[in-house]
Amino acid sequence: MTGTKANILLVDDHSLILQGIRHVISQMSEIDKVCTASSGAEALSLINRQPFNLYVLDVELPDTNGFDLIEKIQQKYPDARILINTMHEEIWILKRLTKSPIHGAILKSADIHELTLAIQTILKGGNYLCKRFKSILNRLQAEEQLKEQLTLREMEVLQAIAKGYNTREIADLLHVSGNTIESHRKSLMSKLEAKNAVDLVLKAIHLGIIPLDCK
Amino acid sequence: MKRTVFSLLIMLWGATACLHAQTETGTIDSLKQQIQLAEKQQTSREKLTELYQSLGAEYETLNHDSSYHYLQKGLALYPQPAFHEEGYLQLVNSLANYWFMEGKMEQAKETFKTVAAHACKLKERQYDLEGVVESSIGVCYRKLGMFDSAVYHYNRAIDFCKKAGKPEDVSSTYYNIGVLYHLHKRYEEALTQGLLSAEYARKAHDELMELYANSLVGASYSKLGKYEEACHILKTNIHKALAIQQPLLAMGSLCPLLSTYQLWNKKDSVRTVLRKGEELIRQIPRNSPTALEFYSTQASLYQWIGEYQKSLQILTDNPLIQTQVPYDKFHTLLARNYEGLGNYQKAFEHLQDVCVYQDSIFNGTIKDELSELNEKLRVSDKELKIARLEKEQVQEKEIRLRNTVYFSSVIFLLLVMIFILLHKRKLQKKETELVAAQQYIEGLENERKRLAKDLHDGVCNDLLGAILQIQQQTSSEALKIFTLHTLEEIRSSVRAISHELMPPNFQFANLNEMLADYFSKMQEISGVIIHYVPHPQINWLHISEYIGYEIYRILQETIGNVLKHAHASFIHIQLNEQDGELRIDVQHDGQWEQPTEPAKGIGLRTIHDRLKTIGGNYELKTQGKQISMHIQVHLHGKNHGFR
Repeated sequence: MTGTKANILLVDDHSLILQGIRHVISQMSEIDKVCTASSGAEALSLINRQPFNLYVLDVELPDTNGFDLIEKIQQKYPDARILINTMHEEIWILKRLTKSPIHGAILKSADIHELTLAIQTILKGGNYLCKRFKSILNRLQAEEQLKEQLTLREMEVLQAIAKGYNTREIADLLHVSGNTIESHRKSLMSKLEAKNAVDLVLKAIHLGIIPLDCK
Repeated sequence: MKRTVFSLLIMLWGATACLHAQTETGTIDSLKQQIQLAEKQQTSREKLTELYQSLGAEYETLNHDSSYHYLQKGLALYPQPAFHEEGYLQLVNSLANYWFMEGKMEQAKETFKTVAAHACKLKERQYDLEGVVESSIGVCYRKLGMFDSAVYHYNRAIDFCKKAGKPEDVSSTYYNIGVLYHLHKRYEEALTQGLLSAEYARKAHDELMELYANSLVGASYSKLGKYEEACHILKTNIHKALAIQQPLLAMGSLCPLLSTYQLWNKKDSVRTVLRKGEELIRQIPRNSPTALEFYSTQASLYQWIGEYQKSLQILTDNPLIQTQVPYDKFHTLLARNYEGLGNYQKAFEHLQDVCVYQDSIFNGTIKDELSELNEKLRVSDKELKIARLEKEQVQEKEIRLRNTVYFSSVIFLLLVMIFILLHKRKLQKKETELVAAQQYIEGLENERKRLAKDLHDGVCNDLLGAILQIQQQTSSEALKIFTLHTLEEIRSSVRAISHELMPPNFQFANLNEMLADYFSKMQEISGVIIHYVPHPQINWLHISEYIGYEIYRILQETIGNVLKHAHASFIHIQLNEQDGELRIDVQHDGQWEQPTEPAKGIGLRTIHDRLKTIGGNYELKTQGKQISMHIQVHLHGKNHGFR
């Protein structure tokens, strides 16, 4: 793509969003022409007339399913580059997207810079996934990676550790002995493969076991 | 010749069938005493008539003169003929019998006809008397060679006998008809009639009539070539007749026995039986038909064994034989004897007479009449059989009809029961559907309420707050930042509601992934730690989409309730699979706002209804203000409910 400017097709049934994105993309130096379509039929009509360097699609369209549109584009232009721009972050949609022949996916709620970054990355031949989607997929992987699930008591101990309590304080809080808390602490270190208490809390936050603003 | 002799015998002996049998002397004495007593006591004329008639009848076969004497005494009781009285008619009938026994056929026939003409006018019809009289008239006509008239009267006799219903009269009529058949050489039919006669005689316990019938049966067997059977029956008959001192009846069977031996060509037996007959003949009236029959047989047999003079002598000494034997047969026998003696002129004259007689077409007519009579009898028998069969059919029809009515009733009742059951089931189904529809509508309304509440309490309040805040902002940059922040919050809030409502798609993610994602997002939104612990052994692919959907919604409801009402900081959800059952434990560290009535909330009712549809159940455990929930769902069982 270097040297030449790209033609982009934007497909979305919400005119405000369509106009907003068009405005942002039009200002990008890499972009030559931006075509828009508010339905699957309109998009197909444009696609049949000419190929585009990038297709930015929503998965929900009034007359067709976004995934069907992906398939049709792929059938006509097997090398077509597709970026999905969606409001949906449900796991089943995200998983379906990961199995589709697309080059990137972002949430409409994502930062505008993420949109431009995604377009640039894909036009350069790369792939792009927005932070939110990455985070969800990471959590999914982490859950699969987690050898053994934590017990209820271990979760209570982990929460207390994250709040900064020491062993004695936790033992008092949970009405058990210090040795028991130590035993849970060791088990937590082993399950999350953590080196120390700080690493344990960081990994727990990273895996989504405890939130950042843990009470 | 042999045939001629035998036919003669049958004729003579058959004539006696309509007569009353001989009685013992004791009976006669008793009757005489009764008459004397009755005359002294001046008993009624009817009684005396009866006694004289009985006495005349008793003498009928023993002493013709005595019979005639007593009958005349009886008739003398009536200065004028009294044909309207049965007793008088019985007397006249006995008188006719006397004429018959005397061989005065014309006189006998006319007297019988007089009785018949008046018997039908009696106040109370005596069908038995009419039957006997008609049968007697038939016999007279037969004797006179007027076979068509004989057949006519036999027919009438049968009708009367049937009406009377007396088996002895039926037996007598069958016997007379059998004799007629025999005379016309229709031996098979004669045998049938003889057997029927014997059967009715047995029914009537009429021993004498049975002996007559058996003599006809024996004679028929003889003619059909069944000599052994014939001899056996006839010899038995003779012994029986002699045992009851009835020489006349014994002679009645002796004549056909002689003919049988003749046909069988047993001359020695013929001579023995002849000797026996010549002894017995002295015991019966000389001019009785039986005696005349024996004389004709005797003459025929002497001719057969070549003693022509002896045979001729018998025929000429007993001219009355001609009254018992058909004209042609009598003259043929005479011609044979003359021929044997070399008197060809005489023989020719007698044969010429026979030829003239036999040229008559009369015989052919009679045969036709007999066929008609036979046909009538057969039709009558068939009618009886048909009547019996019809009766059976009617009975069968009745049974069939009864069964049909019974089965129809049972089927009808069953149909009614089935109809009622089906109707009940239909009503139940309708009721269930109505309840389901009500629940569905209620569910929809609850969801709407909740959605409205979420929008009102969340989004609307946020928007109102944003408007107030924006109105208070003075700096444009601060306004911009605040507006963006507020809008983002509102968007997140709406997004959360939308995510909550979005139906899960099991095509691309399993229940575990969906729950993990949901809990993660709820943790993110609420800040409450949601600890989701699925057991690694759970086979998520085995959980059907239907059950998975309901479990997803149940846990959404449960967690939503806890977040709203329990003020928890930590929620622990554990899933385990054991014995085909999914067990879900939800625990938290919060405290319920209304611990006493947790089960009354809409949320719990929704959970209850959803669990019902998948055949699951739940249990709430309360410890102080803390409530934990335990849910069980059969993964592979037959689920209930509707969808």
